[in-house]
Amino acid sequence: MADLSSGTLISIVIILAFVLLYFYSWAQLERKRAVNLRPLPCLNRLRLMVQRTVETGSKVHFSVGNGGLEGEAGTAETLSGISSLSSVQQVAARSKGSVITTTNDAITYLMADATSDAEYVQSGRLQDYKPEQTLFITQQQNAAYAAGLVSIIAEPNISGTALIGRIGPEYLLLGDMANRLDLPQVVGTTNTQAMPLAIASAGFENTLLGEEVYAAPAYLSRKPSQLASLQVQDVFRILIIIGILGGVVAATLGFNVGDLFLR
Amino acid sequence: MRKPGLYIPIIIIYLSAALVLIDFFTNNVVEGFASLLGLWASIIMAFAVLVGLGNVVRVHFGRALKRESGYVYSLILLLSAGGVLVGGIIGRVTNLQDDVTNWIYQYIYQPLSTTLFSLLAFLMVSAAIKALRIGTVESTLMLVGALIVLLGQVALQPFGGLSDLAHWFQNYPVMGVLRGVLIGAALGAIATSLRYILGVDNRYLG
Repeated sequence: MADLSSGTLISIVIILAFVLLYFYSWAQLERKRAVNLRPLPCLNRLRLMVQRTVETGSKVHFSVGNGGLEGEAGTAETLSGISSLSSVQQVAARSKGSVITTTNDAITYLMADATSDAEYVQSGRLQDYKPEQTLFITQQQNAAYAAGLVSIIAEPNISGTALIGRIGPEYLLLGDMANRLDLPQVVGTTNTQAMPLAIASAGFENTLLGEEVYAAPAYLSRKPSQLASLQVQDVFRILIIIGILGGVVAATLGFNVGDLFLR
Repeated sequence: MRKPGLYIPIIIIYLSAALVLIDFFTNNVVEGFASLLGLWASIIMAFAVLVGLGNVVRVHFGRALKRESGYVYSLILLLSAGGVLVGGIIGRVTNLQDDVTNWIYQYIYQPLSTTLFSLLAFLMVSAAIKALRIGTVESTLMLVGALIVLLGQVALQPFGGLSDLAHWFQNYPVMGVLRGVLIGAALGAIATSLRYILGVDNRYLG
């Protein structure tokens, strides 16, 4: 028989609450309940960058980061990058734009290729999607991947670059090349070491920080299924803030509540 | 309406996710299932790398054939990839095992990689100057903070007095912001993972 500790039970309850709240929010949003989103202008710029490629005959480079999907840290960021890629390819397919995608992991490559292909099929433009639009650069070699990205965005037909996913300080290599070529760039990372470097390189207004990386698919697609997850995150964020404030008050009054949060 | 064939992978996703969660949260129910799936993923990964290699060859061979700009680099890449592959096979056939590929990795790839990363120090300065030139409030604040922490590490006077300020800066405002960012990112990671586990984000299935 399963032996469930109180910590495990609390975790299961939290996950179940998350799932139930998610489906409730999704159902509400399907009934056209409007949702207010704070502006993230860099994602609008990304959409415009992709749409303009049809006028200029150029391509936008999109990277899902250097992460893989084998369960190591960064898998969720890579999945968020794939979801963002889906929305970006949808924009490209509908506006007859062109996006070239790069990956640093074989499974991520297959997933990115299948996602891009599906968006073109959905838009009835299967013949316009070429397998060469999704590139496998390296297998989990961050330096080689960064070098590969630098050479790709240096090609004359690239009109902008975006990276949403896992990336470390090596983003500077890509950002520096984009600055030299005067290419518009959008970068999103949850890596706290890479964040200040991304801001310095791409500018604060072109950088997605932390949770914004996970919010990007919802902003780009505006699908109820994506927006619902933002609402649930907000509910849990408020609960965490209440918990922290409650903990501060309890600790100030002399109650030892720290052990409740430690395993 | 989705094609009926697409329900099969979604059912497999549900089952795998459920069993991994049960394995994570319980003892002796489906013991070791997650590590078994990890092993299967590694096997799939090996074949996926072959597909990825096929993509590299197709793209760069095409460039070399069409003599596109930079096709020489494509040829060098193909030759390098082929060289490592042949080196690995020779090592396995003979008694050298992984010696050949290890030598290539240690004496060619690692120095190149280290050289590339060493450039980051100069690029940081370049990015900092650019941020300063733009002069937005956010970038100026970031650079002032970085300067205080940097000078706080200097033991010599007159910067020694900045040490306490730098430590306070790192321990309170920076740590507070970092924890806020990490909590937000963790919630985002949970939401994204659940969307994939529940099969909501399933465009990759076709």
